[in-house]
Amino acid sequence: MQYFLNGLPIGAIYALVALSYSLIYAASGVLNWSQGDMVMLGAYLGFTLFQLLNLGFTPALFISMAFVACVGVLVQYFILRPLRERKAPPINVVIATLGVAIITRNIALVIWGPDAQIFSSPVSAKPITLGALSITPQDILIVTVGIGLMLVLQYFLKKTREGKALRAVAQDRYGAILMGIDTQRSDGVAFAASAALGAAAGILVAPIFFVTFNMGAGIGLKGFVAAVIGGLGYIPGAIAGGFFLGIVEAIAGGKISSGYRDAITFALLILVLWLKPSGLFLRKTRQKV
Amino acid sequence: MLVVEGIKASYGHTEVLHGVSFTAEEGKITTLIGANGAGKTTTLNCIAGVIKPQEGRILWKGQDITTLKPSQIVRMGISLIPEGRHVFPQMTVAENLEMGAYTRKDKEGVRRDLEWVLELFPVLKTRYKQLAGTMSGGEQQMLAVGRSLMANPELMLMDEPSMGLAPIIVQEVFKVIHQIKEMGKTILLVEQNATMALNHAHHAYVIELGKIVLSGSGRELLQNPEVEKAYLGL
Repeated sequence: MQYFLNGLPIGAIYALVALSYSLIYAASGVLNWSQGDMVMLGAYLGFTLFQLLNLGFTPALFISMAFVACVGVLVQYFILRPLRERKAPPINVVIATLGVAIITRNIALVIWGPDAQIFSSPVSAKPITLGALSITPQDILIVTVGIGLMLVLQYFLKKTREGKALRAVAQDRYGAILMGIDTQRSDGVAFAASAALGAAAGILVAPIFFVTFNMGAGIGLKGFVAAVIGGLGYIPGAIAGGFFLGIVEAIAGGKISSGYRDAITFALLILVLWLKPSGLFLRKTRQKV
Repeated sequence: MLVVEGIKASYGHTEVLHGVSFTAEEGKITTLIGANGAGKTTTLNCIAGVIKPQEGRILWKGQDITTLKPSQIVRMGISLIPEGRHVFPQMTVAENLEMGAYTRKDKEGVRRDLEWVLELFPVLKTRYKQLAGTMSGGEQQMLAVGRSLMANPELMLMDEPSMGLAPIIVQEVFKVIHQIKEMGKTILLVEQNATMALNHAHHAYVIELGKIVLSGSGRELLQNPEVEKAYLGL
């Protein structure tokens, strides 16, 4: 039970990153490898606003989400759109997003330097004990904000005009075009939302880890594993996959050794790809967004 | 009136339309019949703006729409009901219909249109909250037509609305097409089911390998021995 609790906060962060992969994949069929670096960018911006400029945690969170969302739109507009118009094969698009990742990483290196930065938690990291269980206020903050953002995303997709258009494009791109939906626009919306989710994950994870220019590689890969475990492109699966991975890692770290944690994560990925490549949580009918 | 003038279109290096010309009169049913691969769907996709023709032009009510984007063409009152329906499977009937009205801003008009679409297709009313992907082919076809009507189009392009449906459902689909025409809408119907199409059309064109080879009233073509041999299978 304690391991379960320990796994929740990191699970929420994995879930946010997994959502950012799945949302773009479902809406535009692109595997965007720069997602991890949007997490890093979010963490650095949060660090700058919260730590250096002494803004509150909430404004820092929203401003960096908005800023990184704009970065996402720029990536869609200047990188993805021209490739689409030239009918480039998917592998070219994937490589282009890897390019974006490397550029973002190096820009961060230039701006913030090579040293790891410490992001001090906005709330106490001292555990509260409840009987045999303990949890820190920081963990509670991560899980609350994480779940809050997932609810906002759900509301956006189910209730708003733009969100419904996004789902329509994900389910039947040709059908959506015939309805007069501008798919360039919905791609832009998907990239913006995904980048914002990544940025939020970055700020939430920052007090746990150090903020470094190459932090995106690790967390991006973990988020991707969570998305695949849940079924890439399947929104509820990404959430389930994220929490599942977080809890498995907590159990593995506690029962076996934290040194083996990453090995177990990727062994799990191989196992899922081998036995059930459509994801653990996908029912028979293919579901998207 | 819809005027299509000598359009040529290609996929990659293969030209599939070699200068197609025809017209569709307002308030009437015009049909385009022809075999698989003759270029019927490509023609409709050109009109809807999904494919850009390399040559020729398309005029709607005297205005050149050849280079417009699909979203602009929908706003001009042209709606394509695609072959294979292309409803949104994980959305409810209600959401599918809402997507049909995506480009419209007049909330009052949308509400009115929704009411009569549900009246025209009672099955959509009973399945209002059901996911479109769980419905039968015939029901999905009705949804595709209803969704298109939600855009309040003046010109409806219908691509093989009878495909894959049981004969009794095909009858129903054609009944609906007639009702829609009665409301003053212009219909351009593409069909492999030539007998059905010719029976209902005011004017018909036969397309073969990317070219119009024959035209006349529906009745004339029904009695044309060449058409009979090639398309009616009698």
